[in-house]
Amino acid sequence: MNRSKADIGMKNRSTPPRIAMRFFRWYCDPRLADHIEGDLIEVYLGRVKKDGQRTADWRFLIDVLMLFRPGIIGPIAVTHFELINTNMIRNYVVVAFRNLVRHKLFATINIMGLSLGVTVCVLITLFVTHEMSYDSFHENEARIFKMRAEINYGRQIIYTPSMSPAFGPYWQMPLVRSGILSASGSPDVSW
Amino acid sequence: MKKYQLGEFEELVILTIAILHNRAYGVSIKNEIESRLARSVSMGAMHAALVRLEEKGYIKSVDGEATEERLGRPRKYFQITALGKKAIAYSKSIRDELWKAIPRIVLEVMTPGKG
Repeated sequence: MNRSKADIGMKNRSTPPRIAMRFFRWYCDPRLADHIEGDLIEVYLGRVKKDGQRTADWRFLIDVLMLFRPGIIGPIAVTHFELINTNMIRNYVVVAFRNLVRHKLFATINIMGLSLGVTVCVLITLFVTHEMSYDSFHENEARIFKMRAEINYGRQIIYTPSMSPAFGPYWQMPLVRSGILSASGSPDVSW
Repeated sequence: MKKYQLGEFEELVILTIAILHNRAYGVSIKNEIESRLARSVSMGAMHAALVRLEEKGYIKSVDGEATEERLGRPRKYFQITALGKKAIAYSKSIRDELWKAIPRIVLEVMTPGKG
């Protein structure tokens, strides 16, 4: 860019705010910087004549900020150093693939086993989350209980899924707010 | 059918470049759109559109002269390419087809007082 030529024509001409200009130079793609800067200055000088320097300064700043967008912003200048070394990773992928092709049986067993394991894992997760979601749509889910019996036969302990409706009156205990007999006949109780 | 990607604002810009013929550069395009459409065009939006259009190959740029009113910064003139002409012709034909497909009764409602 030709500064000396610019300075000659400047004499008692106003120039755009220096900070805004430097900011623009800093972010702008160098391939676009010169002519966009020219446009900015041309518009700026027109505004100085029409609206005065202050207004023109402000609007110049706004223009510069509005130009701060993808497409205008230049490429980030890190050419000598890459954050991710793709060559190395590509090499890993190639080597891994060659090994799979070379040991076909082993690879097959390995992949099958792994996928089976992952599948089972996911299925278990699905099953468990489903089980855990039981009755979770209730408002005070944590305060709902189901009454069931623990029957001790000496060595063996049996848990029943439900109880006789005869236990129904127990939900009239002090801490129990209300209760019902569910379809299976076992009293459900809520604190 | 080949697809020409052309955004709404990009279309305005490229048509304005066509109107200005050999005098299309940043400021003249901006002024032309502003005066014809009575809307303000930000420098950012316009230059972003110009960059996109050039990337798509619809316009090409020629370095122009550096003048005093630009404090020595060069101008860059934009010209519409053959591909760009195809693109605007395509978008016009699409619109024409859509206009033709509108039933007449719809347009009659849109302009009250006629019939």
